[in-house]
Order: sequence, then structure tokens, then C-alpha cells
Amino acid sequence: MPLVDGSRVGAPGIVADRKRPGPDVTSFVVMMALISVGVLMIYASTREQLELQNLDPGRLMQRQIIFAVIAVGVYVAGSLLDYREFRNYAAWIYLGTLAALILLISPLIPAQENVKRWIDLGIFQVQPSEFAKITMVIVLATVLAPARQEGMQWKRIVQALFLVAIPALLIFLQPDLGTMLVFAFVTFVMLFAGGATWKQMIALGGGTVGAVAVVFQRGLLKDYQLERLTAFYDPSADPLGIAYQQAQSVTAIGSGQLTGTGLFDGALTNLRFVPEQETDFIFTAVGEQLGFLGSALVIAAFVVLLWRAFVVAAMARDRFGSLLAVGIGSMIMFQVFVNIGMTMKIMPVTGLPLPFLSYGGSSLLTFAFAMGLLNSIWRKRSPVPGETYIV
Amino acid sequence: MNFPRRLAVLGMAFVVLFSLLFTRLWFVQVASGIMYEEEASRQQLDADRTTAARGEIRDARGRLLASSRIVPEMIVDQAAVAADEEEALIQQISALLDRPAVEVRALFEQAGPATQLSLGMVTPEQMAYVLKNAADFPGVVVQDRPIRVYPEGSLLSHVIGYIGRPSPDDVAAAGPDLDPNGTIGKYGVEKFYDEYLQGERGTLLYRVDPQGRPLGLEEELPAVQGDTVYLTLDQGLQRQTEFAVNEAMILSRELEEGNPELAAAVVMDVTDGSVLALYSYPDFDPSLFVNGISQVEYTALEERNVFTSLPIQGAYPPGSTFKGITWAAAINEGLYPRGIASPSGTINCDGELDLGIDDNEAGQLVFTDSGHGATDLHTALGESCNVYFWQVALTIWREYKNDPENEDILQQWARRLSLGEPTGVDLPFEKGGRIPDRALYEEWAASPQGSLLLSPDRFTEAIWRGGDIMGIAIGQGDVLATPLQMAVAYAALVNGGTVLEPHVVDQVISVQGDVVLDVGRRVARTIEFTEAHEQFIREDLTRVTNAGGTAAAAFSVMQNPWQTGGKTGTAERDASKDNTSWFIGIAPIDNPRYVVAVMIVDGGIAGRVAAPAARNIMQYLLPNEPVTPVRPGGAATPADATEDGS
Repeated sequence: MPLVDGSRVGAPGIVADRKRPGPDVTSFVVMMALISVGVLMIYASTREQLELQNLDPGRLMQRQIIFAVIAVGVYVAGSLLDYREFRNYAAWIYLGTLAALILLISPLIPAQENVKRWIDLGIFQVQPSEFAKITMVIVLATVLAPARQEGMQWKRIVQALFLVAIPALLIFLQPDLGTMLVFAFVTFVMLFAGGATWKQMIALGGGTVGAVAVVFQRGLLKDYQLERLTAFYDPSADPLGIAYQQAQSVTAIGSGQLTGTGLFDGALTNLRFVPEQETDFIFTAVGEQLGFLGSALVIAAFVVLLWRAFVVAAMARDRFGSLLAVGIGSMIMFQVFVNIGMTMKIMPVTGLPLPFLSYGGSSLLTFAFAMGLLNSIWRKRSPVPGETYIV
Repeated sequence: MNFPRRLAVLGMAFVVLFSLLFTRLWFVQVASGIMYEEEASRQQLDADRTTAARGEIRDARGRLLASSRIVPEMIVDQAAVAADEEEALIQQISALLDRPAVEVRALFEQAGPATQLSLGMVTPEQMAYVLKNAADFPGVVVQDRPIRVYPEGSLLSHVIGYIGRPSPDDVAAAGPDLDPNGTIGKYGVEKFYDEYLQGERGTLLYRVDPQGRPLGLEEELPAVQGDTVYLTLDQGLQRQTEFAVNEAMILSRELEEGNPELAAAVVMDVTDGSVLALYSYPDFDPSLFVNGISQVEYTALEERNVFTSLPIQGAYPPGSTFKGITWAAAINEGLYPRGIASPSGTINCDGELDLGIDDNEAGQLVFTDSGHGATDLHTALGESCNVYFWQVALTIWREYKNDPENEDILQQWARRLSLGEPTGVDLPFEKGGRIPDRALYEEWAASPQGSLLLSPDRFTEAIWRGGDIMGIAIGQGDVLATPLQMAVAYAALVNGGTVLEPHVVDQVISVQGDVVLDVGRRVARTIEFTEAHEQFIREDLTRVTNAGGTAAAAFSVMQNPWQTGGKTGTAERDASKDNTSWFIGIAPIDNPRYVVAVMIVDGGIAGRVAAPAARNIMQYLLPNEPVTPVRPGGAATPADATEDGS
């Protein structure tokens, strides 16, 4: 394989050391730890309620364990695939995702409690917008990677924005503001990582702010749309309102204090004082039961994952891999920040799940696959620093 | 900027964001964790307050006058009744309580949503039915509720008072310790000692789920029954007092003296101010208020002055009973008719007193009275000689009319002896009566109603004149006093000068038996009397109830009328009305213990109406005197009198 940029190509012993690099054990272990904590928290926050309904108290936990097992499989599959192949299939993946999103908002799929977010496959429901996030990262990496050689022209930026805008709009129509925000954030980060100049970034930022201002000023959004923008996706399940939900969330976290009430001993968690706790507000279960020490550890685990994503981005053998890693990292980072920030009342309630912890298969499988991709990029890195694939 | 540097910029940005999360986490969990923990506990607990049984009221011998009995009460928690269940529930309740559905519905609407609504007391059968058919009665609970019981009916009603629902002002003043659906004292001892009688509400602390549904009892702080209030009053004496006053009112009609509709009597211990009996006619049964009284009923009772406690609120001209005060002013200040220097100096009372312009500043006036012949201070009191006391007033006028400090020397004596201001009895709404003076008339003249209060010549000539003092000297004119004030004044006259603050409550004792409050003897002030006063006061008061005295006839039936003393008062209120009949008695007079004040409004001549009633009460108080009837042919004691009465 031809080499470029390898300053120490001719150095003795290099060829002899060249063996297949191992997987990223650290990120796998951390991911599995987070999934395990999530399973425990789901059990803690649902068991008493399920028992009251004469259901198996472990019902939701068991489903999440099944998802976790599948997630490991998805992770392994993602690890074994050569990430570079995704470039070749990016167009098909993109079109497939668009088809799923269009199908979702079409009259073929019935709305559930006013929103169209799930496709019911009988035994479980699929949430296409979760998978659409990966599609977006792959498409953006594909479009932006050539900028390494050609520079980041406006033409490329517009192309990337156009490609992101279509699924983003379809997701907005569901409506799912949170996921749309993930799209926006990841796009910005990947544009910057891909080589956009400061001037371009400022222009894009200004344009976005301007566009949002116009939408609000002109009243292009109807009241119910505004409500949907600001209100939690499922108002009927939350009759007491979002302010109440967030206040309850902070109370639950705060009452954990330094060391927490102890696993399964959280009074607010046990009695479901926080609505939607096992999904979007799962962090409150961590906060109340495990206290500051446990909560900080969970956030620290996400920091480790983020650190690994950046190491992978730095070590990737090509720009496509680097951008994929940055996209995956920023996607995790954004959801963690928005979700935990929401439970602590420094971010608005947008309805984004906490990666790996929140109950729900689509989210778990998406993030497991993303971690698998990250591992694939890691495994394809060169044992020789700086050695890169051409193209 | 190359790619590693771009990664570094992004990494820095992410570090900042995560630092924000850690900082916020520290702030929420560590810096303010305790606050959130308290909030969390608060949310998990709900408190129900329970009602405390009201304290008992007992008489001086411990006999029960007011108590609380526990009865089952039906409560609807409207918050627990779904909108579509309400109509069915109303029908069920209507059938159970046998009340029209319209009435029950009105109660529901009146109470408003999400409130607890009382449907009143239920029988054990009704309670059992509700419990058995709980599904048909959503939100209905049967609670034990203490209700007030007054075993003696209307006896002592003006002392005991009554209770009622707290007004919004009461609730605001009392704070969370007062049950807005509970009761509060509104009148009498029930009001004055409410803080002791109220008791402490209990608390039931429940653990609740997020919807507020109770999960279990966490803690119970039981309600503490209110303290027991022991009155200084005695049931037996009270019955005798009520009987005597009622007999005197009949007597007044029989003798065609008057047609009394209002009357009062008070018996007080002259040594310590304990009120031993206090009666106001008409009275009421406090039980009327236990379940609430309708506005119509209340107004009807109020129109009959049922809620006026005449012994403390009935301020009327005291008439000749005031002469006791004039007597004290005269003998203590040496104020005798012109030309006389001692109490034994006599004037010749021919029943007339001519006044020249010099003495009255309002022209020639002739005062008339029955003639008493040669009269000194002693016989003037015993025979109630107006002329003598007018002369005393004239002496005051002549001596002090140019001395603004002392022109009201008679009023000063009245005020010193507790007239003109409330006595400070431990009952609400006491009135202070009135002792007129120049300042009062000037105030009246300056008021918008001046021309109604004062005659026209007051405005053109002198506003204050000698005749006014003459009026005061015999308890007429604008003098007003309550029976209790007269009792306190006479007590001071005979007890060596101690003006007492009367009290109806002796002690307040908690359910554990601790003395919470000991009211005891309370002294408003003491007066230094002259030797002459101490020497003659008892003797001169005795003249009234013995041969030659104004009440001699009424007291002649006694075995030993010499052990009594007192003063009659036949006060003119209004030319069109009958005289108010007063008697203030002291017994035993040589070692004074009791003062008895009787006032029969529109009763007539004091010696014929009020005096027999006072005598009857005094006979009851004196151990060696058989009780004789107030009116000829009547009973001596009430039919329901108890043997342990005296």
C-alpha cells in the first residue's frame, strides 16, 4: 500500500512490527458500564409501579437487557465492518433513511399521542430518527472529507446543509425538536472539524440565528407548533406541565446529596415523583440514589467516551474516519449535555434520551452502532503514527 | 488551522460544557442538597389536622357547665369526588339523611370544589350504612367530631357565652392552629378564654404518592383537649339570683310599678372581686349555637336584647344608689351643706330647694322632694334625702367653681370607685358607663349631634353649672353605670378602699391537672378613706334596710336585718318610662363579704321591687337567715334548687 506523509517509513523494524491493531477496549468497557447502570436505574424507577399494576416488576428492565444484548451484537458488527465501505453506500443509506422518515409522517403510520415518531413492528417499535442521526454523520463525513484536499468551499457547505436539511425537516414534522437540534449541532461541529474557516462558521451561525428570528418574528409557527417546540413531546402524559417536571427532576437529583439514598432506596424514584423517569429523566434516578459521587462518575464515563472519540479522530487513517469519529463524539456529547442539563434545569426540556442509560431500544442500538463504528475506525488506524490512507 | 488544532478547539469547547455540568451537579446535590431533600420529604408527606375537643367550663364547685362530646360527623371531601359521580352521590346522601336533594346540592355548591364539606351529625345506623356501602359514597368519610354540650341550658348563659364558626378575621388572626371549619368562642367566657378552651389541634402525617393519595400513616400527634376553666360563680347561687330577679319582675307587674323586660343582677365577693352570680334577663340557651344558628333566629333573639349582658353592658342612670358615692365624697372631703361642719350636722329638709341665680347661673330653679325634716349625712343616706345631697353638690359648686382642677371633685370620687370606665372584668364587650363633666359637655357641644345632646340654653349661657353636679349627686342627669360597676364601687366603700377588678374565672387547669392560669384577686387601685368614713359607712348603709330606711319594708321579714346594708335607687330614665329599680346590698354588713347589685329596668320603686329581690339573694347568702319569698305568696327558692346550694 503506497504511503504518504510517513516520515519514518524507511525506519528499520517498522514493517516487522506491523500487525493488526487491537480493538478499543476502554470505550467498550465504559459503554457496557453505562448500559449496566441504565438497566439498574430502569429497574429502580419502574419496579414499584409495575408491581402496583400487577405486572412483573422486572418487565422493563428485561426488555432493556434484551436490547443491550442486541446492542452488543450491533457493536461487534459495526466494529467488524470496514467503515470506509459506508462511503460507497452513503447515498443508499441516505435515501433509505429519507424513505423511512417520509413513511413515518405519511398517513400510513398512525400518530401516537399526537406525535409520529415510532413505526410499530409488532414486538417492538422502531424510532427512525434515532438511526437517522448515524446516517447524517456518515453523509456529512462523506461530503466533507474531500475538503482536505480541495479546501472547504461554500459550494460544499451548501451541499452538506442541503443534504442535512431534508431529514431535519422531516424530523421537525414529527415533531421532534430535540433530534433536529442534534442534527444542527453535529453539522456545525463537523463543518468546523472538516475545515470551514472562522469566517464561514460565523456566517453560518449568524444565518441560523437570523433564520430562527425570522421564523419567530413572522409568526410562521402556529401556537401549537410553538408549544410543541417548547413543550415536551408528550403533553398528555404530563398533565402537570413541564415546569413541574423539571422542578421534580431537580428535587430528585438534589435530594441525593453527596452519597445518594442508596440503590432502590430513592423515595422519589420508587414512587415515580419524576414523570418520564425511566426514559428522558433517567439521570434523576442516578442523582437521587447514587448522589453526587455516582452522578459525577456517570458524567465522567461520558467524558472518557468523548476522549476516546477524539483520540480515534486524531488517529484515524483518513479524513472520512476522522470526521465520522468527530460526528459520533459530538452527537454523544450534545445529547449528554442537553439531557443532563435538562434534568438539572440549565437546559430546556427537549425530549432527548440519555445515551446508553435511557430506556428504549432504538436509541441504545444507534449509540452502540456508533461506538462500533468508532471501534472500526480505531482498528483501521495505522500502527505508525501519521500514516494515512490516500483519498 | 490544521485538523489536530481543530480537534483541540472542539475538545476545549466540550471541556467547558462538561465543566458546566459538573458545577451545576455540585451546586444541586452538595451545595443545596439539604434544601432539595427537605422539599422531597415535604412532597412525600401530607398532613391532616384533627380537631381538639374544647375545654370544659365548670362552676366554683366543679359542676359541669359546658363540655365537649364526640359525635360522628359526615364529611365529603369534594376533591375526591369525580364530576360524573357527584349527582349520584347527592342522591345517595339525600336518601340516607332524608334531606331533599336540592338542599344537599346547594350545600355542595356553597362549599365549592376541592373543599371538605360537613353534612352534620349522623346516627350510628347511618354511619354503618356509609361504611358498608363505601362504593356508593365516594369521598365520604365519617369523622369523630367534638361538639359543645351545655348541660344547664340557659343558666349562666351570659357568663358562659357561645361559640360559632370563626370569621375570616378570626382565622387570619389565629393562623394555622385554628381550624377554619371548627369553632371559636364568640361571647362570654367562651370568647374571653378561647385561647385556653380551644385546645391544640392534632396532626396526622401521611406518606403520599405524587397524586397525593395516602400510602400510610407516618406520624400521629394527637389533639390535646382544651383546658378546663373553673368559674368563680356558683350554680346554686346563680339559680337563686335568677329566681329572685324573675320574681321581682313579676312583683313589679303585680304592684303595677312597671312592666320590666330587662333586668340584671350580680353578686360579687367584696374581698377578692370574685363574681359569684351574674344574671341578665332575657337570657338564651348557648346550645342554639352548637350547630350554627340561622340569621333569622339570631336577629329575632338580638331584637329582644338577648345578647346584651346587662350586668356589664347595661349602663343606666344609677339613681339614688349613687348617693353612696356622694356620701363618700362628702365625708372624706368634708363637703357638707352650707353651715354644717360634720356628718352629724343637720339641715331641715322640707322637700324643696330654691336656688338663686348666683348658685346655678341659669335662673331660678326649684328642686322638690319629699320632706325628711331634720337630716344629717347618716339619715340622708338611710332615707335617701335628695335635698341633703343636693346641698352637698351646691357646696362643691360654691367651693370649687373657680378651681378647674377640683370642680369635678365628685366625679373624681366616682371614677376612683370604678365608675365611668370598664371595671376590667374578664368578659368581652364590657361597657364603661358615663360620669359627665365640663369636658364631656364641651365635647358634645363640639360634635355634630351637639344640639340633640344638649339643651339650647347651654350654648348661650353656661355649658356646665351647679345643677349638673346636683344631678350627679343623686345619680341622675347624664350619669350612667352598670350593675357591676356599682357592685365594685360599693365593695370598695365597705372593704377599706380596695377597688377590685372583678373576675368570673377562678383558675384554668390543663387536662393533666396543672394550673395554667390563676386569675385571683386583682386590685385596680386602693383609696385611703378617712376615719369618719370607716366609722360610719357600714352603720349608714344599715339604716337603709332597717326602720326608717328606704328598704326597711323589704327587709323587715328578715330575722336579723341588722346584718345587712345597702342602698336603694329609683332612677328616672325618661318621663315616658317607668323608673329603673336598683338595689345594692352588702352582707354581712359588720364584716362585709358579699355585694349584691340588682337592677330591674322599668321596675318601679326600688324599695318595693329591687330591694326584695336583693334581700332574697342575701338571705340565701347568709347562713343564719331563712330565705323568704320575693313576692307575697311566691316561692322562696326556685323549684329546681339543689340542697347543696348555700
